[in-house]
Amino acid sequence: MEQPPSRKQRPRLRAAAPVVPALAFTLIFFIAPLALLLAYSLFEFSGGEVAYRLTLANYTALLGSAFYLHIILRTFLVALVTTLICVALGYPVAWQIARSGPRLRALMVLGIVMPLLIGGVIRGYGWILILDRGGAINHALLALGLAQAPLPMLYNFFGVTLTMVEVLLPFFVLPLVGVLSNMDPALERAALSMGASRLQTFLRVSLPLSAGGVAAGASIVFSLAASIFVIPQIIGGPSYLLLSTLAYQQIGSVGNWPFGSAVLVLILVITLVVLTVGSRVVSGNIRRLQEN
Amino acid sequence: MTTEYRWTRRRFLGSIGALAGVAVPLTARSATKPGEVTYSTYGGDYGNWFKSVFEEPFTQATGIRMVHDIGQNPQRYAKMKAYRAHPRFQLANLQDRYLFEATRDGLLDTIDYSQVPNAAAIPATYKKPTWLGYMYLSVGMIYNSKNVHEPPHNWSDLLNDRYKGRIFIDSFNHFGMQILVAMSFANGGSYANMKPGFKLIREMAKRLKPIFISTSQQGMQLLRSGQVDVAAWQNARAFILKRSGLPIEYIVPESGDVPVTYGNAIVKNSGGRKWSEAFLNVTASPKLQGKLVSGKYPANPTNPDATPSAEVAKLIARPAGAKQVVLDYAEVLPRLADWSRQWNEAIAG
Repeated sequence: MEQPPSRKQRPRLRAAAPVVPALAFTLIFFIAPLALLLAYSLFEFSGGEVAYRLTLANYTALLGSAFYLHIILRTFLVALVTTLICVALGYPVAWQIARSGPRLRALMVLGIVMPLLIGGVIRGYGWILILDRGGAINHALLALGLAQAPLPMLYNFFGVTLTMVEVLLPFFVLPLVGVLSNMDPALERAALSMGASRLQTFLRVSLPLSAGGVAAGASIVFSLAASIFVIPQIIGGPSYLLLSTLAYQQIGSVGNWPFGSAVLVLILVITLVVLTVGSRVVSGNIRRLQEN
Repeated sequence: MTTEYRWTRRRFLGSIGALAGVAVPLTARSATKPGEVTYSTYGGDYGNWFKSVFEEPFTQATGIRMVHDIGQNPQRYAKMKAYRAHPRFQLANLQDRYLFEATRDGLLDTIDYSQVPNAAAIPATYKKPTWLGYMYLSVGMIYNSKNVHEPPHNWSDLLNDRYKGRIFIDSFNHFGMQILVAMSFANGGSYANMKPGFKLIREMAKRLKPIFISTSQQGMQLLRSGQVDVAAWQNARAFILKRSGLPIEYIVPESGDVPVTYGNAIVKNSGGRKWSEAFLNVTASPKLQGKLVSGKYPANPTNPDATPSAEVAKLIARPAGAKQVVLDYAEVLPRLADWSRQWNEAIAG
């Protein structure tokens, strides 16, 4: 029989009590559906129905086909390039916001957050009007004589990545603003007063100190870019499939829940692997920079 | 929430007077009547229109309120399966493919058609033992009559270099599957042999660089802006564009177009079968079906006696001798996963 908690243990249990609701919420609404997803990915799909027999066929079909490997690589590439562009564009923006006065800062944060208030579907259709053959950009290019014929900007890598960057940029900027704002400016001033150039100060002081924020923002962007559905569905369409749109097709249209679940599990695995490797690389680099 | 409704003979007879023909079978109903029926159906503009055409007359005649469970076909079907033992709704409004699946899975009650007299004239294609269609759209070919002077007659006619970059094809998720089957059948294929259809799709993808749309709004925008001249698509959207004054025409291919039926079914073990049948009777009413398709969303009513407005009747009229390729979902569904893979490889490889 189990012993009741000792007097020493009771305060610990009391201290843990506030996390119980969050833990229960996570278990019910995250862990349980995830377990269900994993289970479904291991079921057979036969005769147009889910047959509840265990199999690895969904994974072998996914990883053993040149076509699906192409879709996996494409998804990874789109997510990676989107993340890198967000880092390159977002860092200076976050820096500027962090270094601005309270009023300008509030205005800039509002400017960054505002697009998030508009739904992805509306933004997707907005981008179609801008990017399609008769859209604003092609009109301008043709009118200025910069193109002889409308350029294909939809249903391809360019259109999907561009739109994803626009949609996901705030998710990189906002966490980084928090980190950059908490950095002590005296450290940079000290480096500059000791004769370091602005570039050296940035590389050896500011960047290592803000690397945690960069890693957090980049992780969020990569995770979302690898799994986002609305933008690839509208801007990529059926001819530029990514893993998310493939999963939607298999579950929503074909009714092949096992294969669709396997695709979703794969997205999760790719994201976890990339984030784990990425965080190790980032922390290694921070250590090296700090040691130098 | 339950709405109490005082049921008087006068009110009942008054409702019958207002809805001649619709509520006749209700006179035979028992006195034990639910306050409401839960109906899993579509939302948005279409849902509201549907409600005003069919549900309000039903409520007026019976005093039974319709409570909604809004969603799309896959979610509705998934809910029916998940809550098989304790259904969450009595009635479901579904597309034919899901009606077939729900029937196959034993989720639907058999309809007692003696209680649905309005359905007598509805052909067997749209009237099954477990569901009753109220309208159908068709999947065929669309063209812009201002830009295309020799319209296509067959699916193979779409493979024409004149349409390069000016054609779109519906996604597999919507009506692409229907297009694939129709193309295969037109070129000697069968359910077991989809090669002719895939060959055509592959060649079109290679030679014509068609746009494969993912939403109906995209298709509407492409036709409205004049970016495409031809399409393999559904007729209901073409009717909307034509009504708005655009030179858009729908063509039934010589080998036939594919009907996609929308119908209602009674969920098994859900309780309100008698009253659900009364609702099915309302949806089969020629007058109300005519009204439904004369609204914002023109399509073909399933009841041949339906009386749409003169304008819509002209719009939806099918050419004499037009053929239909009616899908057998018992053949389609076991092959769907393989077809989707081949389709993806043909267009997104």
